[in-house]
Amino acid sequence: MDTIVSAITSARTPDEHKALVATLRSQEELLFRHAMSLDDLCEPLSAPAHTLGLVFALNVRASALAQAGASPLASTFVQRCRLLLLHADRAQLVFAPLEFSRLCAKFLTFALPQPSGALLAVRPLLAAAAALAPTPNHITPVHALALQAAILAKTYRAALPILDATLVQIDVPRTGVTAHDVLLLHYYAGIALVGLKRHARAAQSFQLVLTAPALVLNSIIVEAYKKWTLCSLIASRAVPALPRYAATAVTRHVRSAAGAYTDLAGAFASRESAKLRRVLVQHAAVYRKDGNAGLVKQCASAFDKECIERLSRTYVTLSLQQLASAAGLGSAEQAEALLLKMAEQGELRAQVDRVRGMALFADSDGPDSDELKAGLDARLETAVALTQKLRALHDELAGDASFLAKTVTKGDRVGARAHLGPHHGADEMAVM
Amino acid sequence: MAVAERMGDYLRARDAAAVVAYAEDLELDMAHATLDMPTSCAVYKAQLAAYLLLRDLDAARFLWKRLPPASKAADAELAAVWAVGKCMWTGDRAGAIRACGGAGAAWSELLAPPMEQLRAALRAHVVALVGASYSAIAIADASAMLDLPHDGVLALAAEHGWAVVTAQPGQPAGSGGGTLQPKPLAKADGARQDLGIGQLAQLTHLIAQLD
Repeated sequence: MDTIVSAITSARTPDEHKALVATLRSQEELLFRHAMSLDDLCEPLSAPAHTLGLVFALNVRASALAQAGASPLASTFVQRCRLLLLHADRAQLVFAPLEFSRLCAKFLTFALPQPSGALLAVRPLLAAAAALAPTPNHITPVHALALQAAILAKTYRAALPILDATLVQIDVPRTGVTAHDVLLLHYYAGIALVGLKRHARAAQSFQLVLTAPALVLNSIIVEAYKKWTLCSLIASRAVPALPRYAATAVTRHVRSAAGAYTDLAGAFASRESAKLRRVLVQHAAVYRKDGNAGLVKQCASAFDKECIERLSRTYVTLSLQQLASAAGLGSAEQAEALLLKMAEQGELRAQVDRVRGMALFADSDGPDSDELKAGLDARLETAVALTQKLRALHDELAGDASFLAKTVTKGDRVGARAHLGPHHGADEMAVM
Repeated sequence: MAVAERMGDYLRARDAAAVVAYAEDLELDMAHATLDMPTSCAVYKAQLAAYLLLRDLDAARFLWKRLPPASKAADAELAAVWAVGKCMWTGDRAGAIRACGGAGAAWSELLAPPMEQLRAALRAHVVALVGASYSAIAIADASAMLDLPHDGVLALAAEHGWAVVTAQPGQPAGSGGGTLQPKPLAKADGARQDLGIGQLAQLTHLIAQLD
C-alpha cells in the first residue's frame, strides 16, 4: 500500500499520471483487500493534485460499501467524493475517463439516501461533467447523471448550463460515452425542459431519442415517445409524423407500445371535446402510473385553448355561453377565465363585454416590431453559431481517415469532395 | 448574519434576479446546512418572493416542493409568501393581491419591501389585463378583480381615461352602480431599440456567414 500512496503523491507530469493509472489498474486487487482502510489513505490526498488516486481509491471504497451495506460510512464517502468532483483536475481525468464516470454514478447512488438527497449531488455532477468533457460541446456519461440529479432535486434551473449547451460531439476514447448515455442525456434533458415549461424544446429532445439508430425498441425510446407525443400536443397542438430517418424498429412498433398516448393524440386531432375527455378518463390510471398525469393535464388545457383559437379565427363576436358550449367548457365563466388566461400569456387578443356576456375577437396587430426584431436577431445568432459548428464538423469529417477509406475509391478523391460538397449542408443552414 | 444582510440589500435595491442567483447558489452549495434556522428561512422566503416578483411561478412551486419540512414548520411567513404564489398559480388574481396584504401588513422587515412591490406589480398587471381584455365590465366586478373599493376603481378609471357609464333605470342592474369601458393602456415610451451601428455589425456578420 505504501508504494501506491507514494506513487499517487509523487505523480506530477502527464507521463507520470499515465504511468500512475497503469499502476493503479494493475493494483486494483490490492486496493480491494484494503478497502476498509482506504479512508485513511484518502485522508492526506487533496482533490486537484491527487485526482487520479482519489478516483481509484473511492471507486474501490464505493464497491466495498455497497457490499457491506454500511450506511454511516457512506456519508464520509459522499462528502469526500463531493469535494473530488467539485475540484477534479481535468488534465488527469484524460487518463481514466471510465473510472471517473463510474465513480460519478456511484456517488449519485450513495448521495440519494442522504438527508439532503439529490440536491447534494447536483453541483458536483455538473462540475464533473464539465471537467470530463474535452470541449463544452462534448457529451459525457456524467451529463445524464447531472440532469438526473437536478430532476430528482426539483432544481430544473440548475440544469440550464447543460440544457443550453450545444451537445453534439461524441468522443468515445476521451469520455467513455456509450449509446445508452446519449439516449439518457436527451431523455433527461427533455424531462428537465418540461419542468421549465419549454415544451417545444422538450419535444425536440425526445425526438433525438426516437431518431437515434436502433435495432430494437428499448424502454428509454418508449418512454420518450410517450412524452414526445404529449409535448408535441402542448407545443404545436398536433403530433408530427416521425422523421423518415428514424429507425424502422421504432417507427413500426413504438405506437403499439404506447396505446394510451396514440389514443390521446387521435382524440386531440378529432377536435371532439367529449372524445378527449373519454380517453382521459379511460387511461387516467396509465398516465398516472407513467408519471405523465401533469403533462396530460396540460394537454387537456392546450386542447381547450386550441378550440378557442379556432373559434376566434371563425367568428368576430360570440356570446360567452356559445363559446363555452362550442369549446366543450362547463360554463360562460370558465370560457371567460380561459380567454383572460390566454390574453395574459399573449396567445390571443379578445375583448370581453361582461355586461352583455359577449366576446369580441380582435384582429391581431401582430407582435410588437421591437419584440419581433429582438426575436429575429436571436434566431439569426443561433443560426450563425449552428453554421459555424456544422462547418467545423464537416471539416473534421472530411479529414477523418475511416470516412475517407469508405467513400474514396482508388484515384477518386474528387468524387469524395463531390459526395460531401463544399460545406455540405452548412449553406442551407445559414439561410434558415 | 452576512447572508441575511446581503439578501436584505438585494431586496431593498429591488433586484429580484440577484436574490434568485445568490439564493440558488447557496442552495446548490449546500450552505443552508451551515446557517441557523432563522437565517436559512429568511433566505428561502426572499428566494420565494423573488421568484414571484419575476413571475416565475414554476420555479416558486418547485422551491416550495423541495423546501425541508422543518423550515416550513419553523417560519409561518414562508407559508404566507407561498399563499400568494398559490393564488397566482390558480389564477386567483384578486386573492393574490389580498394575500400580499395592504399597507402596514405584518410582514417582517426583510419581506415588507418585496411584498409591497409584488402587490403593486400584481395590481398593475390586472389593470393592464382589464384594459386590454374588457370592453365593458361592471364597476363591482372590476372592484372584485382588482381588490379595490368602488372609489378606488373610479379613480383608476379617471387615471387611465376609461369611460364610466352610470346605471340607467331601464338597464339590467347587477352592475351595482355603473359600468366601466376600459381601454388598453398606453405603451411606455423609451423602450424602442435604435437601429444603430450594432445592427449593421450584426448584418455584416450574417452576410459574411452566407458568403
